[in-house]
Amino acid sequence: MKKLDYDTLLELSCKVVSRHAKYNTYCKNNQEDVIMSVVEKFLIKEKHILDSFKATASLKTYYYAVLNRMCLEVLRSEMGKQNIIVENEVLDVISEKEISFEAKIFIEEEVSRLKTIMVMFDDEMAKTNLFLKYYYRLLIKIFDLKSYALSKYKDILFLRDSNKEMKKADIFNDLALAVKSIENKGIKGDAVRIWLNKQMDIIIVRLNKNRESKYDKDSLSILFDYANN
Amino acid sequence: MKDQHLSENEIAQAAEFLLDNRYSKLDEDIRKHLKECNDCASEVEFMFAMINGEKRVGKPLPVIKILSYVVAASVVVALFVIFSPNSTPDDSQQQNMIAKTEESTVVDSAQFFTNQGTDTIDNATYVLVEKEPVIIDKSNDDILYAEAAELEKLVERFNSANRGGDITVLSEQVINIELGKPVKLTWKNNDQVELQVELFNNKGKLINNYSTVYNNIVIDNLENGLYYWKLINEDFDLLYCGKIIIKP
Repeated sequence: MKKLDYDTLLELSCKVVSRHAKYNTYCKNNQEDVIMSVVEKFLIKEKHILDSFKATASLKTYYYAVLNRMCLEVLRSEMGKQNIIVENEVLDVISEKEISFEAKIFIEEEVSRLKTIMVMFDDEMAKTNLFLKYYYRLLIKIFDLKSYALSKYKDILFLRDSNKEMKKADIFNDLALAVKSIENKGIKGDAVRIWLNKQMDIIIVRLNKNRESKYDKDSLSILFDYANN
Repeated sequence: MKDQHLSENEIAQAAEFLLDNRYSKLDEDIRKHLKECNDCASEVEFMFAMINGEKRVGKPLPVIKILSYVVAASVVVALFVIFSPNSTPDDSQQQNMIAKTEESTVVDSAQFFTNQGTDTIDNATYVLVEKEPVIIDKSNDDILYAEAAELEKLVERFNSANRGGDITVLSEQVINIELGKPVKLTWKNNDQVELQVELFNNKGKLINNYSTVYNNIVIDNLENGLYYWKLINEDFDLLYCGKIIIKP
């Protein structure tokens, strides 16, 4: 395999680090140092990196993955020393009356991240999507029902008839009924609540991972609403 | 199932599978791990955002590569036209998006969050355009995007609004789409009346005709060029005429 020349290595490292710098104050303020640390780490392990490439993805993507992991190592070792104040950026941006162009780009990027995170729920993606929509009182489409229930979707059409003023207990009881119809599991609303809370927690952790953001259930609901409009 | 974190190879592979919209085809162990590991999932998400951003920016291919793709594509299209049956996809296409595996049900991730601007419950009718054996020659841009006079007049007539009554068109009058991406035409059809969508090329020739009761239609596989579309109700009244421009 062809060895990476220094200029290309530097270029790829800059791209990875500058992306992290968008969301990480330390990285933003010390970009050059982080780049050099990443490059140094890469050069030390270069032979091993080259030998480990398996061609299951393109070479460039593989290098990005390696450099990103090294960048994360550098940032983790430094972030512990920093005292960073985190703000809830998404809520601030979306709650403004007039959203600027930059803010729109930001929201689109966050929506894209949310979609990617949802895809990684794999066989639970359809169920998570539908249950979150029901929980957040968003419009449910036939496609959402079919994705979860396939040919049995007519058994859960009642999920489209909900009103906005439902109590949380009733929401989870309805979802438990849906689980019983589709998955043949006789569970109670509480079990659905625990499962859905777990899914929401995973989404929130992943949205906040490796960056200075503070998504919570409120800002997640706003982002989810945006993603579905 | 994997106990340790994914390797860089696996992270890169997962990101590329996401980019190609075939995440469900990724190795099961990797998918299982990503369901449960926040660290690896975040890395994959970051990687996807990086390579997706680069893909959008892109660089123009060398001329020789373009010509070789064009020739190859023309041969494939010609063979398709000669040998394939003449069929219009129907709503069963949507069922095909939901593939049931032996162990789990996996939905094509590309179909989530695709609705934009509609506020009524609907299903999307996904259709493929039958390709005409048109050779795309970059030097013939003028031909590809030359306007059809009669259809242009219709478009101008609907410049300010459609005259649909209960049907309101939500799509832009001139839709610009990148080659390879689907075109979505949307309107409000709360009463679910039957509508016809006619698609014309820039020579005024009818390419295809779709029938729907829903709020939108998605047209795939359009080649570079200028197209016109008409929305017609069950009384054969023309409700709207718009343009679609496909460019690389």
